[in-house]
Order: sequence, then structure tokens, then C-alpha cells
Amino acid sequence: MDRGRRNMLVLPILLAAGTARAGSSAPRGAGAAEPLRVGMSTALSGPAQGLGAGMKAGVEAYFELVNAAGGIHGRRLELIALDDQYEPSKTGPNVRRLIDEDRVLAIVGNVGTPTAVVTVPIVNEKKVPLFGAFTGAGVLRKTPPDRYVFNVRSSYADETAEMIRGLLVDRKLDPEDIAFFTQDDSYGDAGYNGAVKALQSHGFKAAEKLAHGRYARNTLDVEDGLAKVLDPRYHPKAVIMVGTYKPCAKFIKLARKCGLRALFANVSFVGSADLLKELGGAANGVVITQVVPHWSGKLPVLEQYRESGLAPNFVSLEGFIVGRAYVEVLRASGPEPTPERFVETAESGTPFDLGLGEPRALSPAVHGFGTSVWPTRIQAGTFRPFSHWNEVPAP
Amino acid sequence: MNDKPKSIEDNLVSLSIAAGVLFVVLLLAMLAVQQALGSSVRQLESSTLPALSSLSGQRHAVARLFQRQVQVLATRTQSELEAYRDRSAIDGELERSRTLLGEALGGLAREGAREQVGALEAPTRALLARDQALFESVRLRHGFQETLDQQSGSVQAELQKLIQETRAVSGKAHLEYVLALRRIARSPSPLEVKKLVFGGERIQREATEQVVAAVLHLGQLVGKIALAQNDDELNSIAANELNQNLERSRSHLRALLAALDAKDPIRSRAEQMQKQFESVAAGIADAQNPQSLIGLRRNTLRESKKAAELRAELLDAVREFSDGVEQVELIVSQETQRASSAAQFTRWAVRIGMFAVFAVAVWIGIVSVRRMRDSVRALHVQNRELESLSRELQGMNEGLEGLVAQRSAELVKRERSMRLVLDTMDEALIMCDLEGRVIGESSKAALTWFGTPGREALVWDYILPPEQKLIDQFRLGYAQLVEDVLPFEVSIECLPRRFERGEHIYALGFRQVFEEGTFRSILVAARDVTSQVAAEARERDAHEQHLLLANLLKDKAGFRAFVRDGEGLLADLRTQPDRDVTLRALHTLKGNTAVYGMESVARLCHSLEERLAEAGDCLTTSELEELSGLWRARIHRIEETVTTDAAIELGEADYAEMVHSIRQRKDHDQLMNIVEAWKWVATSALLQRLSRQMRRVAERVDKPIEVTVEHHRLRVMPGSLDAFWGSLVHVVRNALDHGIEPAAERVARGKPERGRIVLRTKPLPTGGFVVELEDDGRGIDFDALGRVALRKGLPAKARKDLILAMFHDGVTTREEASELSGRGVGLAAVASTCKAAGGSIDVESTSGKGTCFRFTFSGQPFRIREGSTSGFPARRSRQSLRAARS
Repeated sequence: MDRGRRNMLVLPILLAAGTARAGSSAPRGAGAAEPLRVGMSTALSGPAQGLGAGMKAGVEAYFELVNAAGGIHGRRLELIALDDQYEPSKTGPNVRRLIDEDRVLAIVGNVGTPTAVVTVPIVNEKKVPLFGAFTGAGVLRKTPPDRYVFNVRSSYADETAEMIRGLLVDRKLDPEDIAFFTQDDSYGDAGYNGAVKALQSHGFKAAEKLAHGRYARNTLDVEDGLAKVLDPRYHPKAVIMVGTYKPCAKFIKLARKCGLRALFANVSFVGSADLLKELGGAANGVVITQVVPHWSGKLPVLEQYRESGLAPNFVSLEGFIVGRAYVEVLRASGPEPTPERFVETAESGTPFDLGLGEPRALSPAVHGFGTSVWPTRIQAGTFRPFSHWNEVPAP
Repeated sequence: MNDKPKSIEDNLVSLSIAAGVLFVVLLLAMLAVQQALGSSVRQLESSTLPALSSLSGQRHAVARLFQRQVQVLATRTQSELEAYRDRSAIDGELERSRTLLGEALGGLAREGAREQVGALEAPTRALLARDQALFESVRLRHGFQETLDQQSGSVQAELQKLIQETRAVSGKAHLEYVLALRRIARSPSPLEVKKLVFGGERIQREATEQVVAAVLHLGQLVGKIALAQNDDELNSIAANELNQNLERSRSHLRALLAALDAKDPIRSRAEQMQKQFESVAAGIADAQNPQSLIGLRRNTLRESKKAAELRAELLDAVREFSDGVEQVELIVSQETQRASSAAQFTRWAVRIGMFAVFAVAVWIGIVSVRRMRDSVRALHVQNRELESLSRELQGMNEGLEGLVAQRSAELVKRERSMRLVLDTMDEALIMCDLEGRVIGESSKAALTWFGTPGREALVWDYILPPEQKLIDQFRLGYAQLVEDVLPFEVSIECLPRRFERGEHIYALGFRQVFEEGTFRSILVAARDVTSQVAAEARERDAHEQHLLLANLLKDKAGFRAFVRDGEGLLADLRTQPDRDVTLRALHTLKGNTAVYGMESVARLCHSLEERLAEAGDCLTTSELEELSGLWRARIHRIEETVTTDAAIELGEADYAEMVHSIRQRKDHDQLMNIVEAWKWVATSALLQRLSRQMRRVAERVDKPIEVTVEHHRLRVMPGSLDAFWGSLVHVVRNALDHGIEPAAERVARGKPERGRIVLRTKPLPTGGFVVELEDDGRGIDFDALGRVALRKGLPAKARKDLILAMFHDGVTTREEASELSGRGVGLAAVASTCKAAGGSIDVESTSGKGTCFRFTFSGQPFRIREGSTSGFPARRSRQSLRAARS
């Protein structure tokens, strides 16, 4: 009797302690029934909505795949995606809300560099990983890397460097044959600076003197930039473009109309499918470097992607790969993952199989999975991967 | 007598009065001090201290107000400011402390204190009102500033957009221009060149550049407006630079529009841009619009200025408030000063007062001590006087003999000159030193009586006959006297006071002789008292004779019986009986003679008993002769009075009875009986005699008794019980000596003071009669009797054994014999005579209740005297006697 009463007294206390503990840690994924929540702030409306939607679809598709297979250690994955319209002023509040209110384990697959610029300080402050953002900007690729920032894709610098290499080495162009059309913000700067660095590494010191047209973000006012590129002092044979698909498409169409015969090379961020759609008949020969391989390839992740039933494109494929990379690290973080444990696991040197060939390992010094850039060209309304830039027909 | 110091009592009384007065003074002083101190302390407690504390509360509140103002002024936004809106704590503190201050100062007698507190209220209110105004001003300023910041931000954004739009608008022209350049570069033609140089593209481009430059400058101006420090600067910016810039921007925009083709789709965008610019310009510079940047900044500056003014006013108010507080503080501190100096004064007054009281106390103490000392001295003097007086009195009281002895001693000392005196004295005066040696000249009488003393002869050898016992007694007594340890009178008692030497009897007297206060010698005075002793003996003889005669006359028959008994006893003794019989006879003789006043014989019997008890043998012939001689001598004197040929004694009652019987013509036989009875002995007389004896004995032992005689008119045969009746005296003595307790003891035991004794003769229905002697004394101590019986080797188990033992010779519970009883002989004698008369003895005794001796003579004839109708002797007669206490 006495004993029984004591147990009855102890039980509520244990329960209270248990709920208190669960209450504090559950949103970060403690309870068995509690889903593992992951956040995303991306452009679900506005000029860049194709990118945001694509990334979201890719990540969700892979999460569905995992959930269908019983989740991670029995727990479901849940993606909470908020719209920031590709406006940095909206990204900050979104990310804070995801971390503070939804208590997500990580911010996964955000779209954009300007948005990333505001996101990185927040995740560093909140100690929540920013994983696989859809941007190749340098702000996410510091040396040494930020503890809470992880990249899946290669950087814009990697992409533009690949372009420079292809143009100078494969196609034997002079550096003076190259012009730039970039968005007048940090995204454009990232691509441009990467290219300048690559040019310098190829021995061309006066890269700043090359033709460089710019446009304002979220506008289609490309004329002024085009005027710069078309200045009779320059004779560009190739234009390296760092922008979004709409202005880029307008630029390409207008440039062609103005008689510019040049190779247009876009970085992956442009959004290949949208660009293709926007260009229509003018798309042939436009090059887009990709940070993911073409979905038609033989790699295991591509097979998974094809089985997922998504309309294949590079953005959703990147989202899919980001989803897989995140899940691999999360799974290795044990049944009760926390942001901190996630980072520790990621940096542990364990190789993670992204289904892209050799498993890749991270370390405190290396926070990026991808180093590869896959160039593609638009041919008859489709993307054709190529390995040698001579494969691209002269414009 | 007047000069004599006062008595101790008087001094004590005056001392206690002084002490009492002092105490009262002290008490009053303390009360006064307490009152005085209390009022100043109360004032300090109730008014000044609270006032000081509330003043500090006021200052504290104002300090908090200031701190709050600093914080308020340091804020940058309204939301920051809101945190400081609530001022109620400070208000409350101010209000509270002011109320307290009012209460505290209200208690002060000082005029104007309350008014001063009232005067504080206005500056306080002003202070608070200004603070509130300042707060509001700051709030407004923040509001303006915030709006300004917001506006300026949006203006900047608008301007940025405007620049972008300008660039976009000019972008097309730029492109056209570049394309024209390209064409010229490819194939130059004069028309192309002309168009390039004078064409709208170039104007557009330039206008664009200027618009951009103007808008950029406008942005700068917006920054300047936001930072303008005063109205002058603001007015200057507004009137000069801003106006100039706006005008220039407008003209550039107009130029740009003019440069655009009316059909150009971009023109509408440019017009839109122009409108946008106007709205921005209005947002910046519209003097009528308070929400314009200029208006906002102006308001902000105004509020800043107002705040500064308010702050200055506030400082004034604070100053005023501080002045008020200082005034109040001044009052309070004056009051504090006053209260504490009052307390200080009281303290000093207390010290001085205490000192004065102390001094008075010391003075009184000294005076009292002196007076007491005088009194004690006077007492000493009185004591000494008294001592000397008492010594004188003692000396006087020592009496004539002392004086004589003293004088004699003096005479001895002055030997020759006093010789004559000594010779004339009829006392032998012998001076002896402390060793007992005869020193100096002895009186003539001494020389005559005791001869000339030998050289260094000891006084006892000199004067005493050569009887060693006597000499030893003298020597030892003298030694005791010399030791001077016991009182003189006691020591003297141990010395022989009388001795016989030759034919003479001398009496001795002793005097201590002091020389210069030291006991040096003893004067022994001897007087020849031979003739005096003889006279005394004669006197005693005469007294005895007188007593005997008196007894004889009182009860002739009894006396005859007494003489007969005595003769019989002496005859018994002459037969040389064994020791027991001798003792019994002696004891009975002693008892009888003592009862009849023949003291000399009784004394001799007692001394003979003593000797026999010591020696344990029988009487010698000479002793017997001495006893017989004395008895004979005593009896002889009254022999002529005692006729042995006894007549028949007839009492008045008997006689009256006889006459009465004859008159009634009673029967001859009856008359014969009466007459015959006359010869029989009436036990009433016997018992009365016994009761008389008893009363006498009781008188001697000082025990009051009440004797009751119950004779039942019994007469017994004459001569048959004479010996028994004679020995019955032992039982009587025994009863008085052992049975009846002293009066005090009786009272303590709850008994009547007088012992009760019943003497009774009573015929037995079975024939014969009993003689009973009953007392209500302490009863027989059977335990002690048992112990004695065992010691004597007698059976002592049953009560009967003990009673038998009691009547055995030599059995007594007394440790020491007295003249009365105690030798254990008396009861044995009674038992013997009772048995001889054919009687038996029975004793009933209850411890603490009494004893009854019953002698039963069952075979003895007796007669009852007839005729009591005549009213003659009652069957019972009661006589009581109260033993007089001496």
C-alpha cells in the first residue's frame, strides 16, 4: 500500500520530466512518433519560382522515397518549405521562423545567392546546418568553411572556371573573345569573379577590361548590358552569362537579333528547363553548365530519380541529390539526430554514397560534396551533355 | 546629659530618614530626567529622524527622476522609450516621502515647518509636469525621427529605382547608339555619323547620365536633410541645394522625355518616371507636408529644441525643489540640533545631579558614621561605669561572712597586729596555701582545739581526726577547690562540712583568698558546733516525740498495734534469723516507724539496710542492741501514755447504734451481737488508718492522690490479722512509689492529675473476705519483672510466675533503693504475713491502667456491723486530700 502510493507519486514526476524533456527536444527529433523536420526557404513565386519549385519537388521526392521505405530509424521526414520570392528581405524572417518556431533540424535546398547571403549568418548564429543550397556562390564556400554550411553542388566559380577552360583550351579562343553578362548583385559577382580568377590562372591578367554587361535583379532591362557587350571595341565570340533564365533568354534573343554571333554559356543557376522554354527556337547552341549530371546517365541516383516519376530537369534532380545527400548524413547521425550531431557526423570523414559514383567524405576543412561540373548544350529542345567544348557547333 | 552624643537609635532613625529622603530625591530626579530625555528623544524619533529620512527619500526620488530622464533622452526609438513611460514608482516615492515629511514636521513645534513642506509641493509638481512634458517631447521627436528614417529609406529606395529606371530607359538608346557605332565601325557613312553625333540617342544618353547624377545628388541631399543639426542648416539645404537639385533633375528629366520619340514605347515608362520623381520630390521637400522629409526633420529639430528647453526648465524646477528641500532640511537640522542639545543638556544635568546626590550621600554617610562612633563611645563609657557598679554591688553582696573572711584573711596577713583579734575569735582560722600547707598564724581557737600545727603541716592532717576516709575526702575536695575549675560552691560541697574530733563536733567553712586578683590561698574556718548539734538532736527528739504523741492520740489502737508490731519485729530480729527474714523485718520496721514519725528509728533501719546490702551479712549484736536501744528509748518516753491494757474503744456511731437498738427493744441476741462486735476490729478504722498513712507518704513523694475507702461495714476478729495489717504498708508504699505516676506524666497520659487509690474490704459470698488495694497508676512492668526474675533464677514464663516472683525476696525493678521502697523486701514481707494469716494473694495489673492487689482470707470469720438506718456512717465514706505543693 505504502509502496504503491510512493510509486504513484513517482510516476507523474517521471512523466512530467519525460514530457519536459520531450517538449524541449522533440521538434529536433527525439520521440519515435515525432517526424524529422527539415526547412526550406525558396522562391515559390516571382521570376525565380521555377528554381524554387524544382528544388522543392526534388527534395520532397527523395524524402517520399525514404518515408515509403520506413523513414530514418523509423521516423518520417518532413519538409517545411516557405516562399521568399527570391527576395533576401523575406529569406531572413523565413529562416528564423523555420528554426525558432518549426525547430527544423536543417535548412535544406534553399535557392539563390542573395538569399544565401542573409541565411548564412543566421544558421551560424542558430547553429543549424544550411545544407545543399541551390547556389554556387562563394559566400557559402569560405576557407575554412563555416561549421554549419554544407554544399552539395559545385560553385559558380567552378562552373565559370569550367567555361573558361572549355573556351580557352577546348575551343582555343583568346581571352579577349570572351564577354560577360551578369546579374548586378552578389550572384553575378560570384560567377564573374570565378571566371576572372580562371582567366588569370590561364595567364590573362587584364580580365577587367573584357566586355561586361549587367542587369538589375528581377528586371528584364538587359539593353544597357547588351549595349556594353556590343560595344564595337569588343568582338566577343563567347558570352559567359550569370543570371536568371528570363533576362538571360531576353539577352540571348536580343543579342542574336542585334547580330551577335557568339556562344552563350550559362551557369546552372539559370534554370535549364525554364531557359529552354523561354528561348524557344533560339535555344539551339546555348550552353548550360550543370552541377548535376544529366538525368539520362547510368549513375544509381539517376536511376532512382527517373523512378521517382518527376518530370526530369536539372533543378529537381539537384533537389533530389541534395535530398539524398542530406538523408545519408542524417541516417548516420543515429536515431536521435540533432543539428550538432549532424555536423559531427558529416565532418567525421565517413564516406557518404550519393549515388554519383565514388562515395565522398567531408571533413572540417571540406564542406562540399561536389567538384564536378557537367556541361550541356541545347540541341533541338533537349539538353545534350558533352565533354569537349568543340562539340558545340559554332554559332 | 545635653552634651552627650545622641543614642544609636536616634542616629539610626535620622540616618534612615536621610536615606529615605535621598532615595525620594533620586527617584524624582530620575523621573524628571526621564521626562526631559524622553521628550527630546521622542522628538528625535517622531519628527526629526523621520523628517531626515523622508527628505533623503525626496532627494532619492528626484535622483531617480534624473536618471530616468537621462535614460529617456538616450533612447532612439519610441519602443525603447515606452519602457520608461511608467513613472508611478517615482511619483509614489515622492508623494510618500512628502506625506511622511509633512507628518514628521507636523510634530515639530517650530512654526513655518508645515508651510515649508507645503511650499515643496509646487516645485515637485512643476518638476513632474516638466518631466512628463519632456517625455512627451522625446516621444514626439522619436516619432518624427522614426518616420523620417522610414521616409528617407523609402525615398532612397525610390531614388535607386529611379536611377535603375533611368538606366533602363536609357538602355535602349544606349543599345541603339552602340549598334550605330558598330555599323559605323563596320562601314562608316556620313549619314550614320551625323545621326550618331546629333541623333536623339546621344541626347537621351546624356540626359540619362545627368538625371542619374542629379538623382544621386538628391540621395545625398536626403542624407544631409536627415542629419541637419538645426533649422538654419535645414532651411539652407531646402532653399538652396535641394531646390537647385530638384530643378536640375526636373529639367534633365524633361530633356530625357524630349529626347524620346513620342511613339517610343519606353516613353510612357519615362513619363511614369517623371511622375515618380515628382512624388519623391514632394516627399522630400514639400513645405506644406509635415510628412515630407524636410517637415519631419523640422519637427524633429523642433522637438529636440523643445526637449532642451524643457530640460532647462526642469533644471530650474529641480533647483527650486532643492532649495525647498534645503529649507526643510535646515529646519529639520535645527530641530535635530535643538533636540540633541536638549538631550546633551539633560545628560549633563543628570551627571551633575547624580554627583550632587552622591556628594550629599557621602556627606550624610560621614556625619552618620561620626555620630554612630560618638554613640558607641558613649555606650562604652556607660558599660564601663555599669561594670564597675556591678563589681561594687557584687562585692557588697558577698555578705557578712565574706567580709569577715576577707577581714580575717587580712588579719592573718597582718599577723602580729591581728593576733589579738584572732585570739578573741571563737573560730579556728587556718590559712593554707594551695598545696594545703598551713601558713601563717592560726587563730587561738585553732591552737586550742587542734594544737600547734607542725612545720608545713597539711591542714587535713592538722585538724581532722585520724580517719583515712575523712582525710581522703578532704584532700580530694581541697584539690578540686584549688583547681578552681568548678564553681566554688560546687567544690565546697565535696569537702566535709562537719567532723567529730574527740568529744567535739566541728563545722568547716572555706574561703578563697585573692591577692592582687590572683587566687593564692584558702582560709579554712572551723567552728565548734558540738553544742549546736546536741541542741539540734534534742530538738529533733522533741519533734519526734511530739509526732509520736500526735499519732498516738489520733489513733490509739493503731499506735498500740504499731508498738506491738515493732516489738514483735525486734523480737524476731533477736532470734538471729536468716538474712531474708532480717531484711524483711528491718524493712517493715522502717516503713512503720516512718509512717508513725519515729524518724530516728527509720533512719537507723535504713542505714542498717544499707550496710547489710553492702556487706551481705546479718545484723551484728551491737547493731541489734543499738536498734533495740533506740526503739526502747523512743517508746519509753511515751510509755506512760501507751497503756498496753487496751480498753474497748467505742465510737459515737457504735454508741448511737446501741442506744437506738435498745430503744427499739431489739431482741437480746441482736443486742448481744452488737456488743460482741464492739470487740471486733472495724476494717473501716484500719482502712482509714491506712489511708492516712498513704496520704502522708504521698505528701513526701509529692504525688497528689485521692483515696477512697470501701469497708462494707466489715469487722474482723481482733488480733487475727495484726501482722498482715502492719505489713500492708509496703503495698501502699509500693503503689505510691511504682504505681502512681507524677502529676505531669498523668496529665500527659490523659489521666486525672490526682492518682486514685481505692482501699477496700468486702465480704465474700462464699465466706471469708477480701482486702483490696487498687490504683490507677502505670501498672506492673512485667517485662522488667521478667528480666529480674530470670536474673534471680526464678521461673518467669507465665504471668502467675511473675506475680510469684514479685513477692519473692530481693526482687525489685528499681536500680536504686529509696527510703520508700526498692529493696524488693516489702512485698515479700506482705506475702509472708498474708500467708501466716491463712490468706492468698492475687494481683491484677494492666499496663498504663493500674494495678489491684487482692488478699483473700476465705476461712477468716468476720462480722457485718448492723443497723445503718440511724443515718450513721455511710456505707461508703470518701475522704480526699489534696497534697499541698511546696
